Amino acid sequence: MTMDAQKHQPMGWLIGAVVGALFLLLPAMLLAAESVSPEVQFCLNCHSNKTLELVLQSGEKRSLYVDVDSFARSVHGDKLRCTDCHGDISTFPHPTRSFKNLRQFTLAYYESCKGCHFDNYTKSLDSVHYAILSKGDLRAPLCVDCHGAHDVAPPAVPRSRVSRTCSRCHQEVYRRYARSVHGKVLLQDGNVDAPVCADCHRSHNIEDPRTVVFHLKTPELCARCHTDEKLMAKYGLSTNVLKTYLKDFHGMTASLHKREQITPSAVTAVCTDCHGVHDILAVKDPSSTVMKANLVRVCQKCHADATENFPAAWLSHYEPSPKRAPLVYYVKLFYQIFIPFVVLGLVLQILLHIWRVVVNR
Amino acid sequence: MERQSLDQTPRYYLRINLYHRLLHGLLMASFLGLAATGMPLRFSQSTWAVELATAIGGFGAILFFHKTFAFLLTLCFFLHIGAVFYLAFVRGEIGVFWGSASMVPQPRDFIEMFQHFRWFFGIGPRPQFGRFAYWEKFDYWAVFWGMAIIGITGYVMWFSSFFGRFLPGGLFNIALLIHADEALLAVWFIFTIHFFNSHFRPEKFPMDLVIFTGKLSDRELQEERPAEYQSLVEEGSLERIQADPPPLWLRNLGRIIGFSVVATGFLLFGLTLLAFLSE
Repeated sequence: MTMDAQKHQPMGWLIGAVVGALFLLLPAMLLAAESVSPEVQFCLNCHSNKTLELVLQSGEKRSLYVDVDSFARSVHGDKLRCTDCHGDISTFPHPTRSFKNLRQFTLAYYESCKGCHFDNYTKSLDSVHYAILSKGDLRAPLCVDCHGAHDVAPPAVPRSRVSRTCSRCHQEVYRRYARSVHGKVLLQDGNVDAPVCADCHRSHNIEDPRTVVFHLKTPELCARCHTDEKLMAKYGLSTNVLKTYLKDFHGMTASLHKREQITPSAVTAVCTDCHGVHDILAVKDPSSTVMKANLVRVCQKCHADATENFPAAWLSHYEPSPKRAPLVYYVKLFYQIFIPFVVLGLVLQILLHIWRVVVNR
Repeated sequence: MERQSLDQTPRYYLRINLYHRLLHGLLMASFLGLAATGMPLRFSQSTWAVELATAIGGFGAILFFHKTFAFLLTLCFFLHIGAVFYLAFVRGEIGVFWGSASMVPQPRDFIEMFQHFRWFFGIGPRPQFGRFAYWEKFDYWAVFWGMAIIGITGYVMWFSSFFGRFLPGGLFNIALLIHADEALLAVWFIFTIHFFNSHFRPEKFPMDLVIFTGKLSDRELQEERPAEYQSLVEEGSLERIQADPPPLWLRNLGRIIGFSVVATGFLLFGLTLLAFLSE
């Protein structure tokens, strides 16, 4: 950041900076900033001035004001000095820096966090956000876009904060999520068992959810909660959902798709294809896509000419039993007995045959 | 008989004609293909299944090859049915349906099976088998029945939208179950029982080449099918089926194909058995 930019850079289109009445404001700031370190106090001599701002090449203005209270309350308040992040500004007057626009300004400090948060920084390099950033789309969120800069707070306190953070860009998805069974219980009932965005999408290494690879991983993803006996018991939900899925047409197919190198043009249905993604509803909800009355329409998404008979093939995640799908159960039982019986019987005959030949010798 | 035992070069007789040998080849190739592309689906939770599917080219490729082999096996099935009907109704050889040359179980088959077990326990002589022994007929009908059952259920799933118009949807589950388990039985049956009965029997070990060469030596015919030999001699038609000895290249080709198929079969048997036991 450049103070007195006009002096160093006479070209008016360059950086403009407002030089405040630096030392005049000192006493006022000392009052506000009790809990921050003396080094921070030093910077605040100027940066507590609300009118302090930087005019960028684009004409945009960047406020250089730092709210000392919110910084003091932030997770870094008692830990970091200004220069820990703003390592390039250790002297006063500050060295000359020029920024094209606001986004460039934010980008310039993008790598500040990795000094301490190297783990999450490297994870973010694998994210879809970084992928679009590296393609030159500067709208991609940087650390501070989600976490804030001077006011960094614990990201998941309260838990719903995570999803609200994402909603700043992904408004439409958030709107649908808020109406879903997961969103409703969290946002309305404050039930922290419900997943937030990051539980499925992760937080730093956010994968592109539009890929076939992600699609095929969905069953594992949902299963993290939906096979958790303790968690599901609370809501009277079955934990057999994954097992029964994997034993059925779609699950068998999905398992074989898993390791494919070439992206298949169409892959089998996973959880979200029938239940919905962000707008997922409780299966008892009359408007749920998997409600019996609605099911054929879901089948028709892939099986275009499916008739009303067709969805009956689906056992609704029930394991066949004498009560539920008895025919399937008994046919299965028959083969479980019949196959070993036939094979072992015939193997016995072979052994008798060999035994006779050996004895005769 | 006295004269022949002194003879250095054995005589050969035709047992399986070219049409049946080629049809068996088609059956063998398509069955092997169906097993290799179907068993990964039956045991889709096994690592080897995913590896095998990936090696073949993914699920899409598996499905494509499975359907191709299914079509070939269906063709094989109908070529056989066609040949049987041609023999019976055009050539008038109604004996294909009943009699000593028929695949249909005869009363003597049950007697021979009983005698065979008496022989196993050392309380009776070895039965005098005819052209087809009871276990060969069992083999035949197991495959025949299997093709019908697995074929019908397979086509129901292949054209599920069509069959869904008039069949209750619940039948698709039954179809999948029957298709997969009947196929598992078929795979195990062919890769153990059929392999043993046809090739690893102590009399034949390690391989009976008759399915590739079509020819049987004089000694084999007399020892293994004494009843057939007897009736051929009595009818005086032994000369009619006498053939040249199978050429070496054909025997070697048979060995190469035979051992490759046996090895592949054993591998699939082992993998599916392990997966079945850990289910």
